[in-house]
Amino acid sequence: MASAGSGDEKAAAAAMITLISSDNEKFEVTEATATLSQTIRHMIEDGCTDGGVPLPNVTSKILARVIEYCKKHATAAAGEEGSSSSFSDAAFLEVDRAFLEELEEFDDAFLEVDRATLFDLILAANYLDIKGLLNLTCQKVADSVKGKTPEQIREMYNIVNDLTPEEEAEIRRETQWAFE
Amino acid sequence: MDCSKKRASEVGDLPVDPLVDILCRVPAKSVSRFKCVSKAWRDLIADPHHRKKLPQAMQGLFCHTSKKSEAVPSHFNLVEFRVGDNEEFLSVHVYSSETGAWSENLIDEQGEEGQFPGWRKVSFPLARLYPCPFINGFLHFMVWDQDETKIVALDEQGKGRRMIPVPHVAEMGPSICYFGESQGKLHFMTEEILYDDHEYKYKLFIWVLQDYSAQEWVLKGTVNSHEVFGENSAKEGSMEFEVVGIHQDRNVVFFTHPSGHKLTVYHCHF
Repeated sequence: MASAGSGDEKAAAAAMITLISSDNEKFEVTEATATLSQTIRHMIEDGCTDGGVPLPNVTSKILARVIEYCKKHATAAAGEEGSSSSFSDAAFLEVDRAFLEELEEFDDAFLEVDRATLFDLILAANYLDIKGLLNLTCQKVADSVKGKTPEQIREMYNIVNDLTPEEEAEIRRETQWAFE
Repeated sequence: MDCSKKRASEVGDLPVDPLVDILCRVPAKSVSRFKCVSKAWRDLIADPHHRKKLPQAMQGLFCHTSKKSEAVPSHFNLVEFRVGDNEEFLSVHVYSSETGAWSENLIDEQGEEGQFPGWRKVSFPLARLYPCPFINGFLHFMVWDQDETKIVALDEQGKGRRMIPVPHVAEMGPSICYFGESQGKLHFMTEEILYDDHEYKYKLFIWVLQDYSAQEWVLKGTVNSHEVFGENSAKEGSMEFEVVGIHQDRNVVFFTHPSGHKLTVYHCHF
């Protein structure tokens, strides 16, 4: 597998980071996986990851899911960099396409969670600054709210309407075209 | 097990950034409606900082100029509308290729008088920039007049005007999806949301102005969202019809597919 001169790569790949969830569970991940998070990437660059990275805003349940996502997508990123020389172009494209499809399937399956988990994932992706995960989860919520009425939104998310009837009437007047 | 629930169980609990991120991905019409959800939503959507990013930001922020022209063999006229922040008409000018000159602002000239309400009372929502069909010597466009949608027919000089009421649609229920021309006639499409079998289903109504002088709209046909997008597509998101056009010569409607950026071409069987 390993070709000559890949010793450094191996060392880099082997660098492990410990992430600590709010409920004190420890997760060992590779640096490649962890650095999908810009927040953690900056911590690594600043050299403050010795002894683990405490993530007081993320529970172990959510952190496990986030790591699952990062592992999969870190592999994808590594695949893009590493494989172009080992395959003929056509073969590479074939592999690439299959992998992208697999990644899409993974993302779809990944989003099959209840609403509370989805929101926790958004919060975690926001806090950890993981762009891909934030896009994925926000799009999922956006798809579920578009085309809905304010009443449906309140019902879906248990939001209490704290607008006075006058205020609501005013908004409806201003934005009547949207209610037709 | 579900300890996460108490931290983030509703959209209102999400920090502002992801919530803005979500609303950026929702059509402008929905975002505008969501101002009515609660105070927090209203303030978030109205915040000038977010308006820049949100789809509704286009509406009312810019002075918009739209130009419509219709070529005739020897000359042409160009009608220019300027629409202000509040969607009201600021000015209407007509350019004539015969005289080579632009007219005065027709709004000032006509003021608030005449059989037809003055321009200033009529608003022109930018979010509804449908085509402005030219039929029977009149340019047509959709406006808001005293809380009602109407179609204005404007002659080539920009002076003669008439109002065409739109087909009667139930209060608050249906939304207007499209307005345009096919086969030489004005077409108007509305959508109704039906809650059926634990699901929201959408029905598109296609109207045609059959008799122009009598202003008689006839229901040409209806299309069900499930029929077009498939039974399962509700899972992929909204089944709302986003009509992008109607064929000039045929009963063919174009709309975007709810699953993404796919264009659906639908041959109506009527």
